[in-house]
This record gives sequence, structure tokens and C-alpha cells, in this order.
Amino acid sequence: MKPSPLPATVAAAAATATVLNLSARAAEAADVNELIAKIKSTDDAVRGPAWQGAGPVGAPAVVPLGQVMTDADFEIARSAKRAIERIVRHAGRPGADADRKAVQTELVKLLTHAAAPVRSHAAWMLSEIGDDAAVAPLAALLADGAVKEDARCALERIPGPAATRALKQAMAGAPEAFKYALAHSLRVRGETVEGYPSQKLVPTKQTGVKAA
Amino acid sequence: MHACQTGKHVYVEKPACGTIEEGKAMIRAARDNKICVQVGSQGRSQREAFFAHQYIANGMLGKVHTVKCWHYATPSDDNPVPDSEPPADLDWDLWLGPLPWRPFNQRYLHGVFRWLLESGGGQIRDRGAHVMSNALHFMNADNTGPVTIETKGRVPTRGLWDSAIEMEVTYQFKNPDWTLIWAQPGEMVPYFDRDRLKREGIREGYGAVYYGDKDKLVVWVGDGQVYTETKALEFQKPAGGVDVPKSPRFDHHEDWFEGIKTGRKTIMNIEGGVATANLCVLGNLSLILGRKLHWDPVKREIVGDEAARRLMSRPQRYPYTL
Repeated sequence: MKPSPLPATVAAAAATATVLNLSARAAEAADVNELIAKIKSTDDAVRGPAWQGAGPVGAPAVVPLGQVMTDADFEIARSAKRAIERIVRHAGRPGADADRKAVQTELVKLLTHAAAPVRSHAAWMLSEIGDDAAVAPLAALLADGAVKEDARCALERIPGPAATRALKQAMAGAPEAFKYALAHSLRVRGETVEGYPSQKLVPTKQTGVKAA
Repeated sequence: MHACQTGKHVYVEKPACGTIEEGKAMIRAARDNKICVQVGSQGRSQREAFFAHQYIANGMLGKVHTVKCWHYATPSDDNPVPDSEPPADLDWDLWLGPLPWRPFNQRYLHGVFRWLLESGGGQIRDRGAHVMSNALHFMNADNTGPVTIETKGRVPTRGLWDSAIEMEVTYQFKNPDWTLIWAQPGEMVPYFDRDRLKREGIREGYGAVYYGDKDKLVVWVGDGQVYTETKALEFQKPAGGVDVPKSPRFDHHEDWFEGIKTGRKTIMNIEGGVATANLCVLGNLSLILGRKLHWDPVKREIVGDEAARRLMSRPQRYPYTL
């Protein structure tokens, strides 16, 4: 049986939706381009309001801003970093789960960026709004010498059993020195860990002070 | 916390805690180990603070509905410099402590660490921990807290320092209902005795006005200096009037020693210190999140905002952990 053709009104509505979608994407791209151009300005009177108002530009700006974080001008790089913070905190507002997930997806892409400060910042931003979808990419960074502490901290903060499992799995294969830090994160999350006591509380010298 | 765990009595500088969860941990450590803590918001121990408190507690303003603080603005980093190698005599790792690692920058130190949100928190955490400490004390609100916090502010457009230059935080308390406003710069009230101001170096750039339904009272400064109006200084408590805490010889350290000896609560005990620090922390959180926060003062936690709740604590860099 041949499918019946779409009624003309439905086809027209679909075509309109496609046009609107394309228009929305074009507008989105224009917003991102404008934001990035302003962030790259050497004039802080242009750059400052741009990063401070970046929140609503949202997910599409995250990866381009990550790239600007490597700009040779430290004030431009700093502005890009702060713009990402604005986007993350805007996306984390109550009732905006779709925005939050979209931003999370883009932040995860930055976890593999060549520059360690970008990976580090993405990890901390995910600590604020990440969920289970961010756990595996963050866990992969536990073996990254430059940002493993940032990844551990991010996993410590993300609620849910997936992050706990990732920290436990990392304990199995981590270098001995890093296991103390992982054990700390697990304890913060309410887990019991045998051994690996807090290094801050392990005496390193003899004392004559008596315990209370 | 570790001093508490070893049974030592503790004098801790203000602001008592850097995050909400740190504050809870400090309260638990003090209670579990039954030790005496004095937080260094020493304004509460000052002579004229006692008289202001007595005046308010005895109803001379009527029902106090609003406390408006004023404080001059947080400075901005007008000379940003790139990251560099730390000085040879600085242990940068130790200086950072629990904060996420980052390269050294000259604009982190020394005293200017105050102007970064992570290491300081701006004027609200620096002097707010004094001025708002007195507000909680005079309003008998150490064991309560606001139910909403809303901040408007202007942050620097450049430089390393990210604390608000100007800000206004509105804290709404319930049962009893009153409003606390932290305003930078707010509306400064000049100290009335200009000769004394010059003679004693009174820093009139910060303080608070207490508004009641019958009258208002100005309290200047709020830390090691506290000054108030003559009417409060001359007020004679009537028979059967309300007694308010008084530090021995108006000395904050003496009050701590007496707390150690007798087991009574110090005038700026850890609960008061944490309640005050929480005001400062929450004001900054509302600013960086760009929205109003709802707070459960009994559980000491943010409600209805998962992303904000995560910022009640900050994972700490190992081994600088609690």
C-alpha cells in the first residue's frame, strides 16, 4: 500500500519549520561570531560587557570560547574563560535542563583540548553542571598528569553513583601517590576506603605535645 | 577543625569559613570536641557596640524592620599583568593551598588576595564579616538566617580581581521578618563628631543604620572600632530591661578566655561566625549565578537550585583537604 501524500498544509508547515530552524541557527551563529569578535577586542570597554553578557548565548559559544582561552593576550584569554563561566551559570538555572545538557555536551568536547588550562577549566565547569554524561570523559582525565587533580575534584562534586564508580575504578589502577587523593574524594562522597589516610594528618616528625 | 579535634580552644580569624559546607564542618568540630571558639569579628566586644545592642534590644527603635549597611567599593585591578614565575622565597603551592592550581600572578598578593572571589571575596567578605556580624548580634539572629538572598552588582571588566566593585545584597529574614541590606557603596552617614573622628581616626567609610518603626540608630565602623549615637550611649536600661552580652573589659580576647574557663558561649562563637560568613558567601553566590537564592536557615542549605547547591562546597586540592 502506497503511503498517502502529506496534506498540503502539513507539508507547508514542515517547510516553514525547516526555514525557521535554519534561521534560528543562522541567528545563533551570528550571536556567537559577534561574541567572539568582541571577546577578542583589546578594548576592555568592548570585551568586558561581552563576557559579562555571554550567558544567554549558550552552548554554541563554548567551544569557540575554549579556543580563545589560548589567545596570546592574557586579558582576552581571561575574558573567554569568564564568558564560559557566565554561560555555565546561566545554563544551570532552575528549569533550564535542556540548556544545561547542551552546555555540558560542549564542555565535554573541551576536555580533550590540546591546552591544559582549557581542559582544567572545562572540568571545573562540569563540576558545576555535569551529570552522568560527563563522568566517563572526566574519568579519562584521571590519567592526565596536567589536569588529573581538576578531574578528580570535578568527579567529587558531581552527584550520583556513576561518579562514585569512576573514582573507585580509578583507585584500582592509579599510581600509589594519587590513590590518597582518590580515597579522599570517595570519603567525601560517603564511601568507606581501607588505607590511604589523609596525608595531612600523618605525623611527619616526633612531637612532645600530648594529645588532649 | 584539626585544632578542635586535638582538644585545643580556637581563636579563628574572620570570615569563619570560605564555603557553606566548611562552616557546617567547623560547627560540628567545635561541638563534638566541646571546645571554645572565638571568631575574630571583634566588633561585638567593643564598648559602643554593647550600648547600641542594649538600646536596640530594649525596644528603643521599636520593631527593627531594616538594617542597611554601607561600605565603600571593592578596588579593581587597573594594572593587569601576565602570569609569571613566583618569587624564589614564595611557596606558591602552599599559598594556593586547597584552591585549584594555577600559575602565579603578581596580582594575587599580598593583601589583594581579598579582591578575588576564590581567595577573598571582596569587601563583603572582608568587612561584611564585621558589619553584618554586629547586625546578626544586635538582631539576636545568630541561629537564624535569611530565606532569600538577591544580589545586584558590577564586576570589573578587566584584570585578575573578580569581586564586585559595587554591589547590593538583599537578605530577607522571616519569623521575625526583617531585611538586611549590604550596599557598596550604599549611603554613608558621616560621623557626627568631626573632632573625635580626626582624633581617633574613625573609619566612617563603613557601618550600618538600624531602622525601627519608632526610630533609627546609626552604628559606625564595626570591627576593632565601633561607634554609635549619643542617645544609645546615654541610655539607662530600666529595671527588668533586657540584658545583652558584654565582653569582660570590652575585650574580645578576654571574652574568649572567659569562655574557655567557664564553658559559656563566647560573644562571637562559631555559630555566629558561620552565620555571618554564610551571609557573605551567599551574597557572592547570588552575584556570580545571577539569580535570587532560596535558603533554609535551619538546615543551612540552598534549596531549589541544584547548580547553586553544588557551590555550597568546593572540592579541595590534595593534600590541602578537610
